[in-house]
Amino acid sequence: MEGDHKKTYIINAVLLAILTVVELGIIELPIPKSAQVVLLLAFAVTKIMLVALVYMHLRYETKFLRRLLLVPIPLALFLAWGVIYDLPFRWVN
Amino acid sequence: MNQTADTIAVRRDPFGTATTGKLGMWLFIIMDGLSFGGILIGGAALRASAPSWPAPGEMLNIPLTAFNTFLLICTSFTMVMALNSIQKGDQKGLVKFLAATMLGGLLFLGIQVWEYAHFIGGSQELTASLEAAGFVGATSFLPSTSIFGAVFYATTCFHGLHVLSGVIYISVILLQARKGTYSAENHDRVEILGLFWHFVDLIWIFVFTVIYLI
Repeated sequence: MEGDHKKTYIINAVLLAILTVVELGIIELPIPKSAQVVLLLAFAVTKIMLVALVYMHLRYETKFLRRLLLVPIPLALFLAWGVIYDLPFRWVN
Repeated sequence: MNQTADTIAVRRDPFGTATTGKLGMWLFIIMDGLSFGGILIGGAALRASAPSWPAPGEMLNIPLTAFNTFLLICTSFTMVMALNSIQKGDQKGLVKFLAATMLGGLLFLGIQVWEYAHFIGGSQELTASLEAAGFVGATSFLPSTSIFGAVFYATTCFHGLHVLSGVIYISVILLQARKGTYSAENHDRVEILGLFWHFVDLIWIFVFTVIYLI
């Protein structure tokens, strides 16, 4: 990863800024809320990947390390599955 | 012969050429990511069981926060440029880009504090927004105002503390950089700092989407 990557970093910053502007447009789109949520989450994941792969240089790391970083995802899904049982509980403002 | 043996050793290492310091930061990022995951999933569960939840932009200032998001993206760029500079042995570039990153972080925190002050201090405009969002009678927006307030402050405050930690961390590395501690051969700590700062940016991207836009 040594070397001058200035151009790649600039392109990445511009891409991230464009994706953020598009996100602001998505919340104004006359589409169902569920479609907005899916689109916004997809854009967020894309931006996260751009930061991780380019700025955090994850694309230059070994496959083993990249896979290790995916370990928290099933744990987070397990937590989400666990809290689903609490959903019928209603909070009162 | 030795060189070949070293090359084989590097190739067989599952972590490649990553230093122990860098691996330590990756481990921290995994654990901290789980903390944020817990907060965000908990917030989503509370939202699902809350009787009402404000629509995007009804209460929170989206244009201002979008600017903050853009600012954090810019600081990620300046941080990676700081590393890029020192990899080429450019110590002045390192100091310049680290200082720019720190200033960006401070500006981000300043905007967040201003947003909190606006919510806590209250105003006629805020009272109208609170009423439109279903919080009739509330004059300020506090963690106790509603479950939405609790989720908003818990998430943004936890992230804000990370930005503050990052700014302090940058200031330490910046002081060392000014003394000429880092060079093209010795810049591991700059890279480790970069990992932390980019993680803070990465988490904000998700917080911005989940708390402000959805």
